Amino acid sequence: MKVIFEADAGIDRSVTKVTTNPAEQENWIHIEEALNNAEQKLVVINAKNNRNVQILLSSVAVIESEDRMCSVRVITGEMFLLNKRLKFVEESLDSHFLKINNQTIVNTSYIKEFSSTDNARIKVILNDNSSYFVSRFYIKNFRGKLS
Amino acid sequence: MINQLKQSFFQVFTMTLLWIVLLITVFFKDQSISIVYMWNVVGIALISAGIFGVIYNALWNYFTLKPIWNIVISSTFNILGGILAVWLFSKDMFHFIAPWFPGMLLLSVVLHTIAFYFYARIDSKKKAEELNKILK
Repeated sequence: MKVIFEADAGIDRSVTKVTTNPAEQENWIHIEEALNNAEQKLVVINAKNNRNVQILLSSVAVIESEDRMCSVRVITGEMFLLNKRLKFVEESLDSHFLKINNQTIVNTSYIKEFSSTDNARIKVILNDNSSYFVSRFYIKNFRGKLS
Repeated sequence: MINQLKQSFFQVFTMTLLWIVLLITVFFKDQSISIVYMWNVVGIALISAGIFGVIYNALWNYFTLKPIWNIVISSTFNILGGILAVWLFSKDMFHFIAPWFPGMLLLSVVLHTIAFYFYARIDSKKKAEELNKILK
């Protein structure tokens, strides 16, 4: 199969558009499966039953430090635990993830906007309208990652 | 973060040490000082490095506390560190300026409020606008 990559600034960073011949439509499910399998996954703990589950890294919106563990929130709102300290998690993440303060890493694909608060702090607002404070030190990292 | 703060600590420590030695050289060049007094100078440099190199740096760059906490923490450490530094520098000078301590505290709070609230508010707005431009 020949693969052609095309860039389209109009589509969201977390979306991949696949164009095929109409005759290939029956294979779309297999293509989607292959792409999902190729995507990096994260093994997290479901706190409700203490079982390990795999989630797509691209679905992770926020990872927050919780003492010696981390809490992982996916974009649908589900929460999981990760048995690692934040600094070790940071090393294993791809370029979409960025630390915004000493306790929080966010997925830059889900950033909706930045705003300054009445309290002289800078907030990042995600697509699900959750918001987190950004440390001034980490702001310069955004310039490189988002541009 | 720790490395950055460590670096900043030693930078401020060195600069303060040199600055105090320079002041002593200029204003007290005819006096002889005991070698034990040099430890007072080191103490002043340590206080300065702890406050300006570590506390201020962490409050402004790394922590995301509300401005009121930044103001309270920085003003308190600033004034206490300042008083201690003057005491280490000269006991006579400490007693001479003692009546002005309340005024100094007030001035410290006012200046820190300007820096951590008013300036930070303008700075936050500017930075948020810049980041939103990059997003588009």
